[in-house]
Amino acid sequence: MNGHGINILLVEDNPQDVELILRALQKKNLAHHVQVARDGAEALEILLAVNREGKSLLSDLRVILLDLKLPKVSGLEVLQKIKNEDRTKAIPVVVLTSSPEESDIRESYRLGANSYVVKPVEFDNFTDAVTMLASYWLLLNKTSPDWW
Amino acid sequence: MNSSADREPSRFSLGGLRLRAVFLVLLAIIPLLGLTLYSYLEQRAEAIAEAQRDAVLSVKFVAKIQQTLLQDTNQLFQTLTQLPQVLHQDPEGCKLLFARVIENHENYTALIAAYPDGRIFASAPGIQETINVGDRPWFQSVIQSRDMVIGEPQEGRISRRFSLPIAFPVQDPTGQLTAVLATGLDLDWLGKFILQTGLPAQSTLLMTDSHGKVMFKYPNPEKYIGKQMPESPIIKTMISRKEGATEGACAGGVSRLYGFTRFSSPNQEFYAAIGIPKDVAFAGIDRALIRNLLYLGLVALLVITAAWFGGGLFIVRPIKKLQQVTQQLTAGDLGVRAGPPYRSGELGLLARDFDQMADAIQERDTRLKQAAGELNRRFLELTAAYKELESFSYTLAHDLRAPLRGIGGFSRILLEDSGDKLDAEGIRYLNIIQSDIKKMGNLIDDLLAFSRLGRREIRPGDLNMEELAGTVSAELQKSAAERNLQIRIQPLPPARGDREMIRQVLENLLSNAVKFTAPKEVAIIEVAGETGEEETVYCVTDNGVGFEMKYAAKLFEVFQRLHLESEFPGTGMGLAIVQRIVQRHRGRVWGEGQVGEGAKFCFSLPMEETEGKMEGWRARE
Repeated sequence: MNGHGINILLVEDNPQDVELILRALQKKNLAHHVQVARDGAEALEILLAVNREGKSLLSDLRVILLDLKLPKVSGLEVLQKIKNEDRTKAIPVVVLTSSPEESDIRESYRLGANSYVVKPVEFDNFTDAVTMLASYWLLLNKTSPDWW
Repeated sequence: MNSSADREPSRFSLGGLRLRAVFLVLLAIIPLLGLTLYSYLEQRAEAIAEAQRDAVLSVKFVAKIQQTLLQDTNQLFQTLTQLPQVLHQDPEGCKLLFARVIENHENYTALIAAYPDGRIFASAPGIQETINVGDRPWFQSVIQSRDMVIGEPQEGRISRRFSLPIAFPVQDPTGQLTAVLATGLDLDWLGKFILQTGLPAQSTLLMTDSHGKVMFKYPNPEKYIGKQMPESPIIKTMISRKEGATEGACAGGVSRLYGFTRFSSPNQEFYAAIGIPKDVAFAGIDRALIRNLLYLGLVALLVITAAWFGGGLFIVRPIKKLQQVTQQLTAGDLGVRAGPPYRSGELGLLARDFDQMADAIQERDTRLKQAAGELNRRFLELTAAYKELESFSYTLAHDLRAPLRGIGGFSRILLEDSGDKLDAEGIRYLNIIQSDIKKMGNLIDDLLAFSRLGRREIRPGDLNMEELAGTVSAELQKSAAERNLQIRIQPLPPARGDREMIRQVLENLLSNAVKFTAPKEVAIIEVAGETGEEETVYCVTDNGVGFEMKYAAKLFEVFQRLHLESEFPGTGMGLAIVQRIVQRHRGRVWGEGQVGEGAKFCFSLPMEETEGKMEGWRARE
């Protein structure tokens, strides 16, 4: 099913949110293959890094969960860079944010987001949302065979 | 200037200033022309009078010559009759004598002496054959009158020249007629002689007897001499007026001025006239006229040239300058001015006035720009404030929700992971935290929705209000399936507005109605609409708990509640959102109610938004 590499890249600056998301994923036993980036710059660094053989470190990546409000490089900028870069543009990006603003939704899709999910405030709903997302992208969705 | 070529009047167009100046010059020349012509006509009249005076003087002179000639001839004859050659009728002596006389007097064509029976016995110039003149009228009359006789002019038998025969009797001491002397006065010579006395070329000389018979005419004597022409206008005038001047056209159509007079030989009356061609009489003044007109034309040309270039220099150029400046001003160059320096006169005043106008425009423009700058500055301030507000909303949305999620999440984790270490009271506290967090989340959501309403652009469209109310009603029915709800939707007039916003209004009003009818066994909710004069009004009426009218105005304030939340849950934002939306559609909202008797909430939408579309709507139905 999953390779040994990273399946999910979580770009999230709020440590509480990171912890809640990881907890939700652990419940479904999906948290072992999650890489967390604390800001946009770090996310891009991870995405564009290659190993000694010139291979991407993220060949097993199935989905990027991207918050919009990030320090340094904003989520929308990260999204734009991902979708403009040949090597990364096929990776599914799910915007996972607190903002229900129409402008954010519109702009995200314009830049090529594959999905847009508003983080529910309520814990149960939040947990459900995260686990549904992870199940869908890791178990149901087929990624492009050789995006890297 | 090139850019405005289409607006520039052609140099030769009638409206051009230069052409107008030239026209004025021409206008000024007209009286001069008139004066010249008038003086010409006056001179002409004077010339006529003068020429006539000259003609009369000339003709008098001619008459005098004629008379003198006749007297001379008379004396010649008197002398000849005393000479022995003549007295003795000596042909040879006479011939010699006559030849000498003719030689000395070129005005005589011939001189003859004849016997009383008419036979010529001596003549000069000499003749071979014998000629008898006894049949000639003058011969007869001299025999009868025994005095000098002037005969009718005739073409000489000897000389073939026109001459006036003059005869004289020769008598012996006893008074017996012994011979007749006759001579011919050479008319050709006479004519030439007279006309050489200083008369202009083409002048004519006319002489008649008292019966109108032409005695002499020069030039062309052969055509007229001897003819009886009493009807000729000139001859008629001459005979009737004796002496004076006239004018007329005679043979050949040449207009002439005539002077005429009467003269007499001892026993006969004659009339003489001299005609001077008018052309000749007028030649001087005609030349003067032509000269004057030429001068006038030359002066006019000079003045017109001066007007053309002067007009260009003093009128057209300053006006063009002004026009150019006006165009520059129109094009937006407000600093452009016509002067100084300013010319004197109206054009200078115009330029000065123009500059004052330009000053005024520039000043106004400056003030306008300052005002616009101020306005723009305020607009920017407003925009900045608005952005700040937006960023505040965003903060609310994002930064307020995230910690809330943390509190909720971790209190929940605490419950899940360490719930067994807590007593019942501790678990109750955690549940209260959970419930409050849910409420706060709702509050934030509503507040955000309310804030978004103020910013979102209205996208107006035609709304089928019945359908919209139906949809909202169906959703509410579904979410409150356990309730006995009777939602009655009356026929509703269509509206024009933002579909999503108006739907929100209907949803909030209907859900309020559903909420506040909860204590009733059967909830009766009615949605009705009415088209008024200026607005369309929609109302939602329920049979719920109602409210006190004194709080009616407070209902629409943010977070205002008239009931305990435990009774009727909610954030207190619903009616505030309704009011905001309706106000943004330029409509009104109001509520009526009585405690325990239900409530009625209405909103109106202005007609001007709906009016134009209503017809189309009905047509579709």
